[in-house]
Amino acid sequence: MQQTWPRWLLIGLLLWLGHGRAMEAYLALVSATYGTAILTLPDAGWGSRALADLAWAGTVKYVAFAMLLKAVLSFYGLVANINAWPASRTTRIAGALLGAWVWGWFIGKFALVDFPYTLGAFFAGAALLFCIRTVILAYLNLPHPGMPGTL
Amino acid sequence: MGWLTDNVLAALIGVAGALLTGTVGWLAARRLKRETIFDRNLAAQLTSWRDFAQALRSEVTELRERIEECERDRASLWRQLANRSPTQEC
Repeated sequence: MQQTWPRWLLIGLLLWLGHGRAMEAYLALVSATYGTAILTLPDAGWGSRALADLAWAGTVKYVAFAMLLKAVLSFYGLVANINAWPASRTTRIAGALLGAWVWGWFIGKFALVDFPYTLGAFFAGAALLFCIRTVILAYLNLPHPGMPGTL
Repeated sequence: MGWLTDNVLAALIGVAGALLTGTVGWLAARRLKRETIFDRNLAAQLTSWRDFAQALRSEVTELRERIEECERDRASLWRQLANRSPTQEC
């Protein structure tokens, strides 16, 4: 008998967890606010175990730039998807991949500085999983461009 | 390890995370695309319901026109009946 559970697992994840724009917007919002905080607040970089050494070296702004770029790509992709504008798929996938790089960087950094069990590390892990979901939805061009939300 | 090594390694782990995300996402999306589940997605339903509503609307308009036409015919027949001479055979 053919095993079908992975198929139903994937379909279930997509169907039960809504149409996806909300989580995408949430992750972009976290990136936008945290990136802005790192750039504008002098203590923000020092406040994270993962960023303290970069704050000391004066290069923490590059992490902020990556997060802000991710936020811009994801926000544009979402607005384009809502309004059926062009380049929605490309920007959503690019935003998700850049986001995956940022979250992967945070996970790796927390582990390397011997603080793997911080809230930030777990958040980054969950965010990375949802980036995979964003890539799936964007690849399939879902939600349907121009379609109103279902929440 | 030094701070630079930590950050370079973390960047490499980030690259691995992005590659994993892209690969798993792409493979899963391709697999889901092969399934027919998205033929029945909400967007498709929404579009078909819109088409259905549009078809229903034009049907109703056509029926209204036919009803008005029948009303006119009936009024005309009543007028003919009223003008009929009492001696005229039916």
